[in-house]
Formats: sequence, structure tokens, C-alpha cells
Amino acid sequence: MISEATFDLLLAEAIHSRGLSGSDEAELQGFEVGFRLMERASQTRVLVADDHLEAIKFLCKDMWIGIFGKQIDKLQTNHRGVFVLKDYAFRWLTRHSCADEALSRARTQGLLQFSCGLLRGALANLGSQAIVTAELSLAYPACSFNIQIHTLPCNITN
Amino acid sequence: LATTPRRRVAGKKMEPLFFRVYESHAGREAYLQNLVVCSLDVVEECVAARASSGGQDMYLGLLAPIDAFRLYGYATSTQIKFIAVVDETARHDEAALRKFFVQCHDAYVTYILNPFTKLDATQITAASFRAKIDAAANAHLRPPARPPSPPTPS
Repeated sequence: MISEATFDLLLAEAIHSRGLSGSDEAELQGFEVGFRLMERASQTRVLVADDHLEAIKFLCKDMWIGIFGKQIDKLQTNHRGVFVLKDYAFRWLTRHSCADEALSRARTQGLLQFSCGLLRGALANLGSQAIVTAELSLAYPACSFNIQIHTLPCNITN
Repeated sequence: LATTPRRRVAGKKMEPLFFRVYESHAGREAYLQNLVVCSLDVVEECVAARASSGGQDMYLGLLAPIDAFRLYGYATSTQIKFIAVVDETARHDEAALRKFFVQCHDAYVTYILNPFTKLDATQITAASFRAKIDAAANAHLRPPARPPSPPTPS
């Protein structure tokens, strides 16, 4: 079995030490990981291509449990392609603590970008093109992801 | 009875990612490719029907009998399609075909999970993928021909 704590620390260090915060690379790497993970995650489950709500629900439950060991705490939608996912104890943030809140936000940018890319990649593999952003407006280590689905049909996968 | 299974994996844009012909039909790739392209419409219909009926089966069953062949399909949640073209003289029961497709799907997932493969590749050229598809075809789409050869001494 893999030591989860070790993996979390390794991932944070990998993103941080490559100086990826603030560049697009973290997001692109997350995209690849999410895309590939979705192939495995959806192997035994039929998901319809244009049903964005089902895709997001699958992400919130099965995939979130698979990656972070828990479900998303709150899912909101305006039923017009915008979804907000709130995780009150985002696994990758729980190990970061810093007296200066602004500093801790700056340091975790790369990790959040990676997470956004992860979600974007997972959705892309199901056929949903989306823009994903993360916010730390809630009490640390809570985090909310804002997902906006493109409703125009397009065939690009990246 | 010789079975001549032929496999094709179609990507998201309906392009063929992988194409494999077995046995005596090796010289008819272009013709067999055409058969598969013709069947893609049927695949789309099956997927749409599955979506509206809420079906949970990736195996699509017999798509169409064309000429001397029968085409079977399987579509994943990630818009990857597998199509098998089989001699009509070979009788395969559904269970064998399902097992075949599930193994092919597994091979594809393993291929994608490899971080060295490109996500936007137009062809799957990995030898291990080809070997897995061959093994699946041998296991499920061929009748047992002769007893297995004795293991070579190591």
C-alpha cells in the first residue's frame, strides 16, 4: 500500500520545486493526470457524453473518493453550465499551514493549478470542455472549484 | 472453421487509432476498413439509444451483418469505440465477445495510464498494446485449433 502522507508531501514538493506556481505548466500537467485517471475511473461505468451534471456528480463522488479519499462536501449549480464544488478539507491543503495567510495562499498556487487541471482533464475525457478555477475564499484548508462548461460543440481534447 | 477477427479502435474524432487483421484476410485491409467506417453510423445510433434509455452496457452487440462478415461494437464512456469484424461462418456467443471487448478495453486503459503516451496521438503503436489485443483475440475469438505446444525448457 502506498503511504498517502508521503505521496501528498512528494506531490507538493514536486510542484513547488519545479517553480511551477504562476505558470501554466502545473495546470497542463494536472490536465494529463486527470485525463488519464478518468479513463480508469470510468472503465466500469457508462456515462453519457453531453450529460454534464452526471459527469460532475461522478467527479464529486467516485473520482474524488479515489483521489482524495472523501467526497466533495457541497455541489452547487446554476443549471446553465456553471458548477461550484466545495471541499471543506481539501486533502492537499491540510498539510500546509502558515501563520501568514497571504503567504500560504501564494505558496499553494501551483498545487491549486494542478488540481484545476486535474478536473479539467477528467471532464475533457468525458467530452465536456470546461474552464476550472479554484478559490480559497473559505476558511483554510477549505477550497472551492468553479467549473464552467463550454456549451458550444467542439472537438479539441486539449 | 477459421475465424478472422479484425479489431479496430476508433478515437474521439472517429479516426482509427488501431487496426489489426488476422489470418487469411490479411490482404483485404482497405475493404475491411471500409466496412468499419460504414458501421460507425450504427455505433452512433446505438450510443444515442443507450444514452436515452439509461443503459449501463458498454457492449453494443451485433452492429450489422455486411457481406460475409458480422460486426460487433463496444463503446466506452470516454468515446472510444471498439469494433470487431468476424467471419459470418464463425459462431461466437455473446459471452465470448463481451470478454474479448472487456480485455481490449483493459488494454486501452493500461495504454492510456502510461504517462509516456501522447494524449493526442493519432495512432497506437505500442507493441504491448498490440500483444494484448492479439492475446484477447486468441483467447476469445478463435476456436481451439490444436493442443498447446509443450513449454520450452528455460
